[in-house]
Amino acid sequence: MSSAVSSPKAATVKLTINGLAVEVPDGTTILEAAKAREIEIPTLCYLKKLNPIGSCRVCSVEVEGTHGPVMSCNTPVLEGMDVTTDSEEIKKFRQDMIRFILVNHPLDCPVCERSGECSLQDRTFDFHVKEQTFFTTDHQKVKMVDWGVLRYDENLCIMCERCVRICDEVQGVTALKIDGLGNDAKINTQDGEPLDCDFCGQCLSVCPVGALNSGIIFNARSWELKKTESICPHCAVGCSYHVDVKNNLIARISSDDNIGVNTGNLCARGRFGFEAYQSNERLKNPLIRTGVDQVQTSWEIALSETVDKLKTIKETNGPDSVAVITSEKITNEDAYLLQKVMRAGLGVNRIETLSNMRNGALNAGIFDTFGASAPVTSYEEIEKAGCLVAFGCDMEKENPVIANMARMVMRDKGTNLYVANSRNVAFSPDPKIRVRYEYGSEAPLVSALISAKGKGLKDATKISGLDENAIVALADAIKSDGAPLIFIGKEIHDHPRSVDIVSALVNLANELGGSALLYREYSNSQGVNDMGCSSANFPGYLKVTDKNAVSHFSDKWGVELDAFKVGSGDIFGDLAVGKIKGLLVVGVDPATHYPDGQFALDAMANADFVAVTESFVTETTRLANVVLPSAIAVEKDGTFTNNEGRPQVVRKAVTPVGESRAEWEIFNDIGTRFGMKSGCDSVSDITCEIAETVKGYEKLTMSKLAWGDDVVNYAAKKGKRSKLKFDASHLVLPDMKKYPYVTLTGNTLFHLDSLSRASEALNNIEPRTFVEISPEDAEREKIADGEEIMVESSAGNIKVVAHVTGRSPGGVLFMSKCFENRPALSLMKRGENVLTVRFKKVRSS
Amino acid sequence: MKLLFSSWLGEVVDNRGKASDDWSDCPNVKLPDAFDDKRSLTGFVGWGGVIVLNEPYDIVEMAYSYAKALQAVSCAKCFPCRVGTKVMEDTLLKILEGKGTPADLKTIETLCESVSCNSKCGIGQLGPEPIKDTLDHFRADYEAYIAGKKKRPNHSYPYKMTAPCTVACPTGMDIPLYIEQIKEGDFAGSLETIRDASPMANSLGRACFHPCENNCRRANVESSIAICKLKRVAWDWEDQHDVEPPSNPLKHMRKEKVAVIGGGPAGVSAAYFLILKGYHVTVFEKLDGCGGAVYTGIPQYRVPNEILDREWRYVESLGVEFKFGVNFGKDETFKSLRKQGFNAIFLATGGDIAKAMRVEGEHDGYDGVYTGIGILKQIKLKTNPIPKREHVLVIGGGNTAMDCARTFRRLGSKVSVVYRRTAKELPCDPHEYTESLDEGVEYLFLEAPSRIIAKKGKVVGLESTKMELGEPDDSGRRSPVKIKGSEHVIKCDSIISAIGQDCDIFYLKEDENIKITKWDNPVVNDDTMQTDVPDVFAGGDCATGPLPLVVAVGQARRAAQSIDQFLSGQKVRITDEQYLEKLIAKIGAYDKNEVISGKPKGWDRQPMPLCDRDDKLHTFTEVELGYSQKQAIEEAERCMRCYIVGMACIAEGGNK
Repeated sequence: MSSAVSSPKAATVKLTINGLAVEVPDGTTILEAAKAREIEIPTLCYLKKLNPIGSCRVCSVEVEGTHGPVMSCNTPVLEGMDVTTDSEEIKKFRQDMIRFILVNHPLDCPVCERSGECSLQDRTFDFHVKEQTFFTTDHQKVKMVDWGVLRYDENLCIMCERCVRICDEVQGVTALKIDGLGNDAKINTQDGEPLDCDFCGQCLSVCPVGALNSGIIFNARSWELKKTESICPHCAVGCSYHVDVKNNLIARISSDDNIGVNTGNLCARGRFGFEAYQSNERLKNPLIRTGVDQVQTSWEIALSETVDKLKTIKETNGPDSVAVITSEKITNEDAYLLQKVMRAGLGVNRIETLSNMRNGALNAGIFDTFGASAPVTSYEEIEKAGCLVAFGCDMEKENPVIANMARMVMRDKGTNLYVANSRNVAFSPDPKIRVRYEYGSEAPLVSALISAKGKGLKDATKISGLDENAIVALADAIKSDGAPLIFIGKEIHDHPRSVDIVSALVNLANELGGSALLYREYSNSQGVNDMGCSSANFPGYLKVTDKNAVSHFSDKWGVELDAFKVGSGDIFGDLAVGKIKGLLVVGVDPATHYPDGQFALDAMANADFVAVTESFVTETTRLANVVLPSAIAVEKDGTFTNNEGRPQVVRKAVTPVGESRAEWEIFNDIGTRFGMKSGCDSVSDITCEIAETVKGYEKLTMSKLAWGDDVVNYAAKKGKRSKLKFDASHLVLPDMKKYPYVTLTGNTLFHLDSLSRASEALNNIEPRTFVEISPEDAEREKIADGEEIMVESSAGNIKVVAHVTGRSPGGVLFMSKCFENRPALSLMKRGENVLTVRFKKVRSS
Repeated sequence: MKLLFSSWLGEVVDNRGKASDDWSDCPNVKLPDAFDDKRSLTGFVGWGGVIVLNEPYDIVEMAYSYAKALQAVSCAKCFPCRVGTKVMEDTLLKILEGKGTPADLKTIETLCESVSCNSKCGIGQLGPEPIKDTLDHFRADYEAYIAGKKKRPNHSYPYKMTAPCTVACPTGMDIPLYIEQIKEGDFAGSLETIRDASPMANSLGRACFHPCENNCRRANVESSIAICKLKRVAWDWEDQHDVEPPSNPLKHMRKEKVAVIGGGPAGVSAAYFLILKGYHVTVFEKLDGCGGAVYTGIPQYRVPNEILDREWRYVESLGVEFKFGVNFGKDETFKSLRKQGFNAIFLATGGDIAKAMRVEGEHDGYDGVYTGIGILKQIKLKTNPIPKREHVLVIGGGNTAMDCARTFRRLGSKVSVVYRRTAKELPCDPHEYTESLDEGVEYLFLEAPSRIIAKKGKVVGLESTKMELGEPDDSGRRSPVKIKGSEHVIKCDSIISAIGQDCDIFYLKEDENIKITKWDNPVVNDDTMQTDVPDVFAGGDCATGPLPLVVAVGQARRAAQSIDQFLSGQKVRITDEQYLEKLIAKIGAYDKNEVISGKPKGWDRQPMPLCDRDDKLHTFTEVELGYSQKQAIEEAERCMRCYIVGMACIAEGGNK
């Protein structure tokens, strides 16, 4: 929606278009009004999600009483207007506009990647532009500028500015500009240096011609590609995209403004991370350990070994001797079948995700902990919110596509954004108010934002480092805007006091009629919990200790379920002391993704038997007795439930590499070998069973993407919101004499897990882990930007590259955590809840 | 004027083939016959058509040069202008080189229509018009080139891109650009553009008399763009987001020092432009704060002083030194400054002496007699408590009178404005009048004060004479004439005279060399702002009498350029660009009768949000709350980006 046309007046305007009476809301453009009556006005530079600028002049119309053609894309309708969209004169002008563009436009269509889906081709055809009457001297322009994942050819560029605008309006990066004047103008980076940006490829996706291109023309032409609509597996936002395939090879990921929660927006991981899906690093065959070596084996042997070993261990040592650690990236169908097979087939209940093991109350227990106020909220609330608040949330880096949504709403509705963070995180355009609090002061600070007076305010002032006026100003501003939507980010998710802080934020939101959204980490973090991958809950959060629930599932699954106990989250501790002897790890590598990874590795090595389903070789697969190669999202069907609790359909676009199989197939085979009755022979069988069995998922189906616009109806589950109790005291930081820097860890724009790490494109953009250090700390320790330094903690040390940046305040560091070769979490000692470090120069020798 | 040919604004005057004595007059064109003191002007090409003043000229070369200029400034943001003007340029060059064909003429004609109908802004919309005129009226010249019978003379064609609003702005601000940047949500960029022309986005965005809006082509559609208030949005954005203003980009400063006398709009602006040229600048200010008349005279509800402070603080942050409490002529003199090594002096001491009404009792020291600027200063700087006044008469109809009237309404007085003409002739900004009516100010038109009546030293009334309007005077306004015997008394307890200001330039008497006008101002060159003492320049109210704020800023900008020339050892003179500016201003960049293409009527100006009526009547809260960002963007979208190109034709002896 254009800001030109979204005036607050609610009245409607009556006008005539091509003799038809039209009535539309005041502020609608002529183009949109025509569309409402299904009158198509041709366009070229127009894009619904950008402000119209009227660059191509193709959408011109005639308005009675107005001299000359009127651009329909950026002219609002006015009462009594009489519009003609297709007069002969207008048609002639449109032809001329296309002729102008075609002056010197190379006829490279045979080798242009946009050929077949090119707007210029389409309009030339539509307008019957058969001959050229305009000529200029031929200008030799630079043929191609290589910007890594994308390339720019100024010869093909029609200067529609879509790339410039999306980069600015939607992505907030403003990396591109029009460089030069007149016919020599071209698109360039702001400083003329090679592109250095978010590499979201939004510019590439909106280019109507082949000027911005990805180089796919070397492999495929647009009409050869088979498009499969699916959900991106790279984070919990749940973006829809097309997987474009030729000969079972993924040629590219393309986006479509008309599908999904993301309206065509994608980030670098989603758009350029796809080559990892079919990389050479994929595990292609089952492996079995013989002595020290792992060797290739058949599925039959691998599965039998797994079933035999787990069964024997359970029968010998009891149900608590076997445990499952699952990733949060498997589909709902995978997850549902996993817990069913374990519970009903093997009689084992100890199933956890790494994040449940760290903080079950915030993940598996989200509805137990927060009840009706759980911070799971539909993205639609972004548009409805009175204001947006990013608390402990680095919106641009954590979930850039949600930042895109926020940015568009800020543009269209003038919604204010407030940012509170322990670091100086950025947002463009600038938030209305930004505050930086001291790490650990979150609970008292939010408490003060709720009441903004008295002792609470004094305490918050003392501990947060903010002056009283700043806190009061922020509280007042949020209050005066009302109905905040509070984004709660990774910093809070991983915080030792997360439950208190989230409770406080939820109270703040509720008090003002707003809502909160807790960012989850992986593509199905919500779904695996919904499906009961936790030792506390059956699917739908029915308690394993609840007799009715036990009988419900006994009934559904046709077995007599044992009485299960809720297991402790300390699976690695139990492995280390030999209480757990058999382990199934599903698609996750604790060595990188869990604090004190070395302890986890040693603990797992201590088990009698470890089976791992994985797509890539990891530290964990290396120690496994059996490795079962698993398919990734684009190779299987299923559903993911995103951040907002919206289940969406993941579709198989290519066959799995090598012999790898979808996890649900693997679990089904294991279940059969456990002697379970079959009945889950296809994904839709499982989907149906989920719909029949799991509360909230009654409408789940594979037949269409998502289900309309419904979000899993947590709201119905919710009921009356009540004030949550929380501890408003601050976090007591550990003694920091030896290790004086608080270090926060997180993912980066380009890397999350093994899937991103296997992408050459993403590794080219960000090859190494890094630590962000404030300029003053860097100066004190004589560290230069880009220098490799040694970061030490009580648990060990790693060498990483220093980024000297104002994003870090003095005394606080930020480290990217998802690099398996430099796992930041390995610096965290078991039992510690805040990572503190020191760092020094690596002596050049 | 008499000229050879003109198609200006569609009125064709063609004197070709006639003896110059028989030339018919071209009433809508007024141009000098010289471009500057050396070069003669032979023609002008612009948005309104083609003008040929005299031989020698070459119409095809003029058309080509103009097309080339259009292409050179085309922003490339719409297809027809970016490509169309390039095709025009190339085709015209082909003809000029003797390689043209008759078909090329047809192409150019088609192009002219297509480009002007479909382009996004003035460059493409208005640019092709004169080229089309040359084809319509000088076809034989084209045909001569095509037939190979003509060679191009290589005259010179300096051109300038501007816009009607920019032409009207004394600072020459790039208005369409800063509005476009607001449209794109680039508030920082917008402020940067404003700052290219003035450091005072705040004062100008709140209190400028905005002559630009009188030259706004959007007014021909429905209503002008809120150009003035959009400046404020850019400023407020930086203020509200706590964004650090840009720092001085210069790495090396020059050794010369400049003294600026007075920290008002002219002084602060001159200091700003000079520091950005690398000079050491010291501002000597009499009071304890900067802003001059804005600081002391414009009431809090229009420009709050807290916000004003940020303006000179910004200039200070660039490296300008401010010295307060310095009374020039006493604490410092020309001599003392030169002794301290100042290489140039810029006088901007303002005009802070109220003009006398010349009525009986005015100077008798009665309680209740005030001068407008005196009382406003007293209130704004809170120097003395203001006693409660029941009924205040404000004499005068300018902005100072409005400020006094509205201020005393806020202090709870009944206020009547006494003005000798009618509402139609009021010299104040129209919105000041309407808002004052809304606030309950009463008007007594066609009245002139003749005597102040006092009892026991206190004012009790004003003897006033009724007036009627007579013949128009030099300014075009009808002069008021006294109606005999109409004297009557208006009861009141206070009388404020607000009929104008004079300058106090006692310090000039010290320097015998500086010539003084009969209005007690130093004689300065209008173009360069230099006095006849080479190292002394002057601007603002002290140089030319009371001026609108933005005119003072414009003078400061010119003065800074002249001081730069002076200190660089160059001749102090105006540039070609400034000559062009003058030329364009002279021919007039705005035509209120022009019919605008492609813009349906009815997309009205955004209403300005105002403070609560209660606040308005009883407090000094700022009345205008300013546009929200969203409103600003919508208002900016109305801007038609009316860039135009004016090109002078200069035949420098034809020797090239």
